[in-house]
Amino acid sequence: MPIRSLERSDAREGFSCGEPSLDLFLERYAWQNQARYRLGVTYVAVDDATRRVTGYFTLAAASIACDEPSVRPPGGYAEVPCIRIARLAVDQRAQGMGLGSELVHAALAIALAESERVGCAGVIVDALPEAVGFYERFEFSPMGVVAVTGAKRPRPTLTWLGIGTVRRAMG
Amino acid sequence: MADYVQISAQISEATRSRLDQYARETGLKKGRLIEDAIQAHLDALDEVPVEYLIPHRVVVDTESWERIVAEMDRPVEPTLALRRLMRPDAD
Repeated sequence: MPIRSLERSDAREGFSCGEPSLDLFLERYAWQNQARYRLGVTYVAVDDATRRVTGYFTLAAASIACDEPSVRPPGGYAEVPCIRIARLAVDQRAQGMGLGSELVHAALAIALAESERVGCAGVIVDALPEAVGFYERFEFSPMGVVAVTGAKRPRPTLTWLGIGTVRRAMG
Repeated sequence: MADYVQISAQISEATRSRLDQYARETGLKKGRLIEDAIQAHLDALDEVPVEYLIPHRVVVDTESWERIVAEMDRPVEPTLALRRLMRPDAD
């Protein structure tokens, strides 16, 4: 199924992945986050016949830092630039058909391309507890988080995948 | 002075009754009430609740930081699942 950035005319209402906050984000806030505030871009898999969104993920620029760094990253920078998969969800009617993996593939392909355009050392994902195993299959590893700025929502497990590992996987 | 235009919309009978009742009780013109309601709704949609903002900066603990920095220099061996994900035609 083709995956592309969200368009205003995409049918977002009725999307139900089993996690109400992810449904509400898509229906009410994804478009304005993308088109008005430029905070993140939401990519969707859309059913051609109905224009209904069957799955989505949101990407945003992010950075990782450490309050007491014992080592410096290459170049001596204090923060590591990365891309955040802020949300990823599949409608319940489309679950179990591999769409989640397709969405991860699309997100990593974008991150890899961006790493060559503007720099990006890795990809981070906020994984709900039941989804941590799904991401670990693809080499994402859980991180110990001290603080997150910019949001107060309950934090799921943060996982990290280096872009070099993604590049190696491409062969 | 603002220009005004006429719009037409289908609403439920229940909403219509509430609108009529509120207008009778307060003496407000229905057009004013409808415009205020629409503007309040649109303003509310513009305000992204803090729980839906995307965090842009993450501070990790020292052990995680060391892993990230090490991996920048020496990428880890991708799992078979990651290889298959990124190269589905390779098998």
